Amino acid sequence: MSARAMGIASKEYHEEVGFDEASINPVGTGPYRAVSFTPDERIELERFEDYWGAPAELDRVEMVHVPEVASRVTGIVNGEFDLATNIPPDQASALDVEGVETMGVTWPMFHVYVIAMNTAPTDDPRVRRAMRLCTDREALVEGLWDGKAGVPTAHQFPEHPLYDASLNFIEHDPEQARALLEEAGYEGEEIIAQFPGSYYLYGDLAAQVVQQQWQDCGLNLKIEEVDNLDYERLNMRGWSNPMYYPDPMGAMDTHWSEKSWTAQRELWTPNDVNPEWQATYERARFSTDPAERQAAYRELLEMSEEISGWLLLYKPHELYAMREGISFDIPVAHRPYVLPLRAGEIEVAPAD
Amino acid sequence: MLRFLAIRLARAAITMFLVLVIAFLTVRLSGTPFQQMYPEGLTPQLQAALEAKYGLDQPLLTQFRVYIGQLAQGDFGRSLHSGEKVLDIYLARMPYTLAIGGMALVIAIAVGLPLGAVAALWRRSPATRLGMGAAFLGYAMPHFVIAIGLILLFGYHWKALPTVGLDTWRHYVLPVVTLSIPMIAGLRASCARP
Repeated sequence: MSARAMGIASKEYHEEVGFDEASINPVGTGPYRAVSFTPDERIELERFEDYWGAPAELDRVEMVHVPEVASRVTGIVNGEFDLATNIPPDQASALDVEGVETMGVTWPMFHVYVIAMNTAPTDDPRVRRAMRLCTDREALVEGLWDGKAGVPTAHQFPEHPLYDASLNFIEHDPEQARALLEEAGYEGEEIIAQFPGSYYLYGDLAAQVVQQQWQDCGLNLKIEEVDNLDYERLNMRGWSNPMYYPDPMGAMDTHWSEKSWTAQRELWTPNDVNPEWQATYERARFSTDPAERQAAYRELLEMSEEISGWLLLYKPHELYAMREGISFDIPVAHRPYVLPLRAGEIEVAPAD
Repeated sequence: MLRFLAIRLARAAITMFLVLVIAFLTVRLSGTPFQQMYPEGLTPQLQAALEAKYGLDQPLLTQFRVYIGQLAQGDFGRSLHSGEKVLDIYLARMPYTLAIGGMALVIAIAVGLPLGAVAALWRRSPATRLGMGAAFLGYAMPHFVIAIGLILLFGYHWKALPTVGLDTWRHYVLPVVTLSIPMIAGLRASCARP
């Protein structure tokens, strides 16, 4: 229910005030009531006394949007905030001060490259597969994330019930990559990656590291920072694949179904490489037998190696920072960034 | 005098009108807002529905008439980005902007003018030369550099002043000082100039 599209809203209220107004002054069904909301700035919540379930843990919550990491770190060290989110691991030492605690979390989410299957030279599956084989995730995780991010094994997360621990499709094999590129007749044509600003944490740095790694295999990655992505031109763009609900399809279906924008834009055309894809996909998402679903999902992951339409980088690792006396657990199998503020989920000792 | 005022007012009105026309056209020439709102793309049906909703399917002249009509009634529309009323966005932030800018100006005049006068009187003293160097530095440094430096010192290291929000007078200290430093440096330099 933490997925935005599943939130329950009042139809009557929406019809009365209109969509824009209802988005600014929302009426929901949760344990907190939105008192005020200024987009991109702050939202103020208070306990909703008539909530049908256990009453909310906190009397009042004020969330402030602070885009700069340094400002969030300063605010928590300076005692202005009780809790700060979305802090990269390299800031841990700045938070090593009295009265401040940190907690790390590796989200069920991949940072991903979408590879355009409809634009040369990445229209050749061998080139795409070489891009995968030439990417050293261990080095990325060690160098950028202080060893704390997660190296993926396949497009799956241990947080869902159909997780298959025996699978590991992620290989780093530059030699095989070079052989595939030779077979494909690839001769250093530009592979254009476009990124709109620094949207993903460390996204710009990761691209530069990948560019270096790929040089060893003869892959010529060109990085372009753009305002608007040009789908006629790009071979690759950055993206993230979070798990929206605890199921293999919770991460796969939103991003790679035939209805997703990747398919609509024809960047993602798996059936052209393997005509079995769609039928297997239907079994994986709609079969009522869990064992059959798990088997079908495994087949999908095997096919996805040959198709190579996406490239998994890592599961990002981030820190929460909070003042002493606040404790909570990261909710398992929720979509990333959901804060546990319901009854019994968080303990807050009064501030000094 | 009246004639002078009338000419000035007429000129202001013409300028305002031209600014409106240019703003109106620039926004429409630079593509549709939906490219920004939906970077992953839209189906043609959705795009058409959105254009109809915001009246962007109408001829330019009709759009302009509606735009001017709404402006005249104080209706600046809603932000496509946040959904807020544009007038509310300005009205909510204006008092803080004016307060911080005003205070910075007062401080800059109170500090910068005397400093400049002193520098002009004792032009050749080493202290003045040192002051000149400091003024150049203050004038050349962008606000965001000064701001981050002050936040680091007064917030992170000394925990002396708050760094986020504008709830008490103490919250105003850092932004006002940040804004006033280049102004002080500028005023000092102009006064001290021969």
